[in-house]
Amino acid sequence: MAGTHACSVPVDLSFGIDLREILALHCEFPFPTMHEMTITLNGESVSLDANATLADAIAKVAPKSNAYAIEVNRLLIPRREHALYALAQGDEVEVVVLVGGG
Amino acid sequence: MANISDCTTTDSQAACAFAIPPLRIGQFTLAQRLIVGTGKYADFPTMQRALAASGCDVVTVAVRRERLLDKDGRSILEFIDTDRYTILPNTAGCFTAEDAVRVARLGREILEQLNNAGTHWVKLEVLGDRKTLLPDPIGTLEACKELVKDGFTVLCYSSDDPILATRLRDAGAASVMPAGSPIGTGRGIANAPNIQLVLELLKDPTNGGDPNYPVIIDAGVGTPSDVTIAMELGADGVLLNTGIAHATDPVRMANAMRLALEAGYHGVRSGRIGKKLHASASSPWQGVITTIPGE
Repeated sequence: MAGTHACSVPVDLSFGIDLREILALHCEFPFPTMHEMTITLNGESVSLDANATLADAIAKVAPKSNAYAIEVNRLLIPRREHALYALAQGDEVEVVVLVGGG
Repeated sequence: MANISDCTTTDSQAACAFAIPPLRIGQFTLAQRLIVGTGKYADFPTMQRALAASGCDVVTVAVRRERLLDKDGRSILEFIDTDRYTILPNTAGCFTAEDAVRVARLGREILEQLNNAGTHWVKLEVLGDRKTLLPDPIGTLEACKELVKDGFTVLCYSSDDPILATRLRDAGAASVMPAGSPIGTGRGIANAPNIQLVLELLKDPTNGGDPNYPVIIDAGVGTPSDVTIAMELGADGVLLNTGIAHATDPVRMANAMRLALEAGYHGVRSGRIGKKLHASASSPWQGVITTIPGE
């Protein structure tokens, strides 16, 4: 689900200027810096390190118990894969738990 | 378990208890036939007491985004003893077969972490719209097939349509759970003849049914008498939530629902009297010392 934001400009840092910081002023969507990416975490836009794993995203939510399950882009990701699962720009992550229901 | 016919006046009340046998649903065995939901309670401690008063050993839960904590910062799991209760995750809030399958798998993933006995079953709900919360029969059937293929024991929330009930059974549903009336309405068994037809088609061997196929009345149950009627019709159990959770005294109501289920279970097996137009005196006419009008 990558590549969903409006600004997609090649970056040239040869002059020591991160063009993305300038462009960010003109973009509706938070423009990630070179070392960041933006994902959707439980419906909210969240910035993570560009090398972040799924486990890093889960840590942002900080579930209080071990009883949670994870989807990335509507696919369930088993627990054993969280630590190594590399997230990508635009990924949609859901962290779900049990709540009262009938 | 005491056999009813073995009970004599010399038996103690405990030994004479009309024990209700467990209910088998697929590979699951329920000691109690009242299944209670965990939603809509004013607070978790009230829910916890109501569950205990209901006597249930299976509770339903929903799967949602990380709203793990209540307003006091506590998880519902702090109030559900997962060694005592088998958790039955539902797919409430799903309006397509695809979403129901997603949510069922997420529920299974969570229960695996809890090492709970309910890991491989699901209460399947595929709803048609938010206003009526009536089941989408086509989506329910599709999702049922997919989940059965994926190894789930599927308990299918359904409308009271008898033909759909047979289609769900044929698709591999371990139990069909027709709604008494729409979720949360408290209208009870709105169409008793349809429930009777569901039971007949699923349980009567002369109709290709299996007397042991479990049918549970799910939704719309508002009062203890509704529970009793469901059982008197021949259902194997009742699943309810709002009728307890939104009662003024949920704990007392939970106890009443438990007793009502027992009453209905035994009542339907006791051979009720036929209905008559005219009265039939319980006291003998012989020896009356009064003047009887017309005689």
